[in-house]
Amino acid sequence: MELVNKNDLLSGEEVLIIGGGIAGVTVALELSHLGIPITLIEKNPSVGGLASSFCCKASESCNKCFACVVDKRISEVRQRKDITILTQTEVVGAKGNGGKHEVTLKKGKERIKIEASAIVIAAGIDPYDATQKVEYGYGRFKNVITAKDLDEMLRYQGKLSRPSDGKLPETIAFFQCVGSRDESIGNLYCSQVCCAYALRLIKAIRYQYPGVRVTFLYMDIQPAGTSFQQFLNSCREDKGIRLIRSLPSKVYYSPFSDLLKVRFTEATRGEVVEGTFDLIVLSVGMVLSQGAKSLSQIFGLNYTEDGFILPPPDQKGVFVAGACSGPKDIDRSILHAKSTAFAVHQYLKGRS
Amino acid sequence: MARIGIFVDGLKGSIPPSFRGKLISTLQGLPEVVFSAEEEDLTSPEALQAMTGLLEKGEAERVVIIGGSPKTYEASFYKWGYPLPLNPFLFTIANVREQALWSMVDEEEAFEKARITVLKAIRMASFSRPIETQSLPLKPEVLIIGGGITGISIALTLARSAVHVFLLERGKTLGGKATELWKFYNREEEAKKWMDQTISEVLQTSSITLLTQSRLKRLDGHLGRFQAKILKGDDTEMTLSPSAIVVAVGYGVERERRGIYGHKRVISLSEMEKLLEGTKSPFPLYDGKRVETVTFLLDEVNEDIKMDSINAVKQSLLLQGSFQCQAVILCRDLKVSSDGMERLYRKARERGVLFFKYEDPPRFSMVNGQIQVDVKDTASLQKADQWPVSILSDLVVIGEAFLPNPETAGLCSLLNLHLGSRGFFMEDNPQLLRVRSNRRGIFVAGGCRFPQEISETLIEAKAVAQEVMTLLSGSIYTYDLSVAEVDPKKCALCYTCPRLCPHSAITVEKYAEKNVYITPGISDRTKWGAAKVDPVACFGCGICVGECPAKAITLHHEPDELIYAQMGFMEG
Repeated sequence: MELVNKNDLLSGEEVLIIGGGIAGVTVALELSHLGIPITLIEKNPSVGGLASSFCCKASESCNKCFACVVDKRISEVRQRKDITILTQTEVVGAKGNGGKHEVTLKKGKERIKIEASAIVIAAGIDPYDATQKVEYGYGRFKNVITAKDLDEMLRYQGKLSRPSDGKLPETIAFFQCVGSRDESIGNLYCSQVCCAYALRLIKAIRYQYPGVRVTFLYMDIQPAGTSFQQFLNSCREDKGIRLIRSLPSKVYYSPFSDLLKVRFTEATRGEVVEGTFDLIVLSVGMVLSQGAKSLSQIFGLNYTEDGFILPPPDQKGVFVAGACSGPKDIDRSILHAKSTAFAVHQYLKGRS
Repeated sequence: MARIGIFVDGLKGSIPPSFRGKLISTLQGLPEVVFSAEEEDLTSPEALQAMTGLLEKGEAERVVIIGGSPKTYEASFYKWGYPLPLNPFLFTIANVREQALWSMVDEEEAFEKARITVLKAIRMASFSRPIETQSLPLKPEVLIIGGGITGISIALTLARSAVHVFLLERGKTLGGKATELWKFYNREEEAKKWMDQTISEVLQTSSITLLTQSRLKRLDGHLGRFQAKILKGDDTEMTLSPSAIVVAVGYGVERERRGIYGHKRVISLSEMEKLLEGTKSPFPLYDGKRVETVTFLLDEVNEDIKMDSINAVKQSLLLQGSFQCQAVILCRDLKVSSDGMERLYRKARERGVLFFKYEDPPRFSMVNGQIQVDVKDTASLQKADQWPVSILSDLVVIGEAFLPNPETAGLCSLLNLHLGSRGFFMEDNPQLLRVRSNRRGIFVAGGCRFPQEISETLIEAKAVAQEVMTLLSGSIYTYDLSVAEVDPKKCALCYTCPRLCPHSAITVEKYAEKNVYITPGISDRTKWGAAKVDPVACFGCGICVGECPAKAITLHHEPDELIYAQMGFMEG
């Protein structure tokens, strides 16, 4: 075996990456650094995926949300000439196993046939559809939004406002585990990112709008990496943030005052309390994306117990990267994508 | 005076022809401008060919492009490998479209702004310097410090990719903390057997040179020229010159116990694992007595690390399922954010494991040889100030605080890496993407950065292997000289820059011919010491340039004159 040589490596071997989110983009960049020709397809008009809609969540200092890393990698992949990017493209069929995969793509009305030696599925996740939790009133009450809505509001409108009247909300409640750790809807898994994600959002909001008071309603706070403890302690010390272990069962809406009423238990006081909020933010969990579901059918892949894609054995030539193999934050998606890139490279080398 | 050629890009109509014409006419009188050419779309193949033709004549030494943002051109040709007959760093872009046309409402103002932008670009162009690409051969050799599970898996993955690995381990045997594990939480296979297999695989791999009872004594040089002095068990020394270094020395644990934790019926999670592994009878025996109730106390330490929760739930299921014990878990927050953990948690509750989530730490007392644990049940809604739940347990299992490996600080200063706030190796910079350290060619992985569960460690190990392979691919590292340079004559040896450099790219060496700060005549024959930047290690951040009191350091691609040229137009 020889070491990789950038120039004559694996000529004729091509890797098809399905999904232009942070995982797909990272695999593409890693493999193209090794000189492997890449075709990256994305069903939306532009690459970036879910993570590219996130805003920077810095407060006094960086809170390590990794949103900026995503932007940087996306612009890097766009500039690279050796990566073919096909947007608004979907996979409609695939043939072959091991050896060569013949994949049929659909771009608008056009059908494209492509031969690939290896396939990487990085079709990502969808945020849980909060309308299914009818009791929280998402979709019925204007001031009940998801954390993703809030994130996009901060990124694209640049300010915090209440959807019903555009005013700055004074009190906000975050509901954790909407669509995660919930057997009643069949999602018996933790989405692993929402605690840190919501707390970073809260911290960023508290920094920008010190008058806003936030209540964080949770089951168990899940850690996220090295500096999380310090970060969590700073949240605990913040007088404007209440962390309460209790998930409310229902949101009541008062049409006269536009306020939302919620009942939850406050363990420290040992009683049920009622709180009114201007805005309720649902921390929605992760579910396998629709696109990933149809892909796993096309490629004949199985699911894990939790309903994510079970990575097939490497010999199949089909690899799974990022959160569609199980919930991951940006940091871990990048890491997972890098390890997938390594596996793909090993596979291609083993064949040639 | 440098001869400058000008290309005006119409950007497919974004800059109207009349505007272009007017702009070119103002440049007529300038002595440095040797020609100007207009193109409708400069990035089109035909235009690029015409441009190449014009440049090949050699009339122009520098080029100014009047058009859109530098990104437009970087992405299309210059700096990205289009074979132009001029060094890419000799191109200066005047972004007239965005800085003048799009930002000014009034046409007169827009033209004035465009004129200044172009004049500025011409002035800057005359100070631009070519930057050559250099390359450094890299041989496929990697030094891995630490023979724990992280080090082993990286060594194995790299060895399979035809990289020769030197695996350095301080102790006598491989495996590290992972050998304390009996069972995985998410796999049927026994962790012990799997570890033994993995270790024997390492021993059988010929491209892994195992150096046990050895440690790193000294590291010199930078990427591609690392010189690592190793002190071996038999007190002999050897020098390695690896192309990349992976630090994976793992973490340590706090063994000292105070207060109730010093009691003999309080054991750690790893001791419990050993007890369970050794239990052959239907029930576990501890100190000769049958164990019936076990209480796990979590989150007193390691509140942000998921491993304790995982191990406690796993062990409590074994106790409850195979050994007819009652298990109780006390925690602040149960960490279920690992794949499959929520299901395990559910299973544990179904099997009868009791969970209490405390706010105030539980109290312990001894009652008839058993430990009584009093905990407030925060889930109950009774308004009561007393401690409602008392558990009599035969054993209390606690998590041991994870600490940085005692080697960490020493290695850190040997390798010039950064420590994070808790004494682990730093990864705080998201831009460094976890496994990269502040120095090029040195990676940090596994528990010495942050203790993690094995399945996550294995993913990380592969990611490190990928990083190393990317670095070593092609056996050559190419870099350009857009880095800091020291003028040795001006250097006063104040040691400001080596201390400040975040990437340890600056050293002091005796190479200066002359030094203004030293009285001549003392010893004319020797060379003087001066700071030296290694271009391979330098990231071109410019911190040293800003801090050097003698102004002896400049950025090759951004000399002071270039910045002054830009500033000259600011005052109007």
